[in-house]
Amino acid sequence: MNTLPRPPMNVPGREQRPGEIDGLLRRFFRAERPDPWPAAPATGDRASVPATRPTRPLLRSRFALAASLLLLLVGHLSLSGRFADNVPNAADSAGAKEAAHHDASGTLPRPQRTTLPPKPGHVP
Amino acid sequence: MKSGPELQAPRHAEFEAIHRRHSREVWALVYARWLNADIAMDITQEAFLRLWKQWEAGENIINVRAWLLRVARNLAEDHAKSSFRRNGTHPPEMMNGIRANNPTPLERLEQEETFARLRKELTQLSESDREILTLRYALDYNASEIAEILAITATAVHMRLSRARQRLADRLTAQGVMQNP
Repeated sequence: MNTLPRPPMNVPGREQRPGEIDGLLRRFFRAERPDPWPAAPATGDRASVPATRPTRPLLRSRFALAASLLLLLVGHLSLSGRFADNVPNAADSAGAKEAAHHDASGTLPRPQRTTLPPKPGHVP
Repeated sequence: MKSGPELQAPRHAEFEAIHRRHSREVWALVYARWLNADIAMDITQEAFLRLWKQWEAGENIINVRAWLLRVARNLAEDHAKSSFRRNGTHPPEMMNGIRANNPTPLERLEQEETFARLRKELTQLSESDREILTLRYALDYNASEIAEILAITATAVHMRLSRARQRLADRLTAQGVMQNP
């Protein structure tokens, strides 16, 4: 880089400490200047090389998500199938009994009155 | 736009040549605004990345240098706004981010103190003063190079440099950083 020759004194008598301020500014700005100067930022296909890397972890995580969803679904189906074997029978028999009663009387089924056994020591 | 690797290669070479040619000037412009070398470099690199993206989008930029300087200036202004939000009334140039050059601890302390006061006084100068000082002292550009960048005459460069130095010297003397002659 070229160096500026001694600057002319455009305002005679005013700049009294050119050497001092010059040296100070030079030291300050040189400390500020990036050294070494960085290269051009990575662009385009150079930048796309690392960009292809995350696809494998992405695929792996997607596979894990799909597998866990599948597991959840299978678990849900198998559990609901197991309970479906027991519960619907009782429900069906109760429902059939109720339907028969309804057909016979022609009225809505009444709730059954249940009598509780008397408590010990209770005097009616 | 063509994007095959073999077609990108000349573009990369051109891009790197433009970076070599203009990055210092762009950095100096932003540095003069912020007095922060790291922010200036981040913004410089961002401006160049945007240039590349413009090329990828098929934009034809006729005056690359002017485009880069304009983008860098806008980015610096955007940074000013976001920086104001982050730091309240204290922009980063008020923070003492002096980088050392491996002197002794005492020398480093003295240098950091001097540089911090110099930085503070530099913030009081106009941006055009800071710009011309940065081009001269950070990049070692000579008067004709500065004249070309700032689109002024070499005589005007000498005049402005001299005045900027004098203003700074007066301030530093008043602060006791420099002694009276």
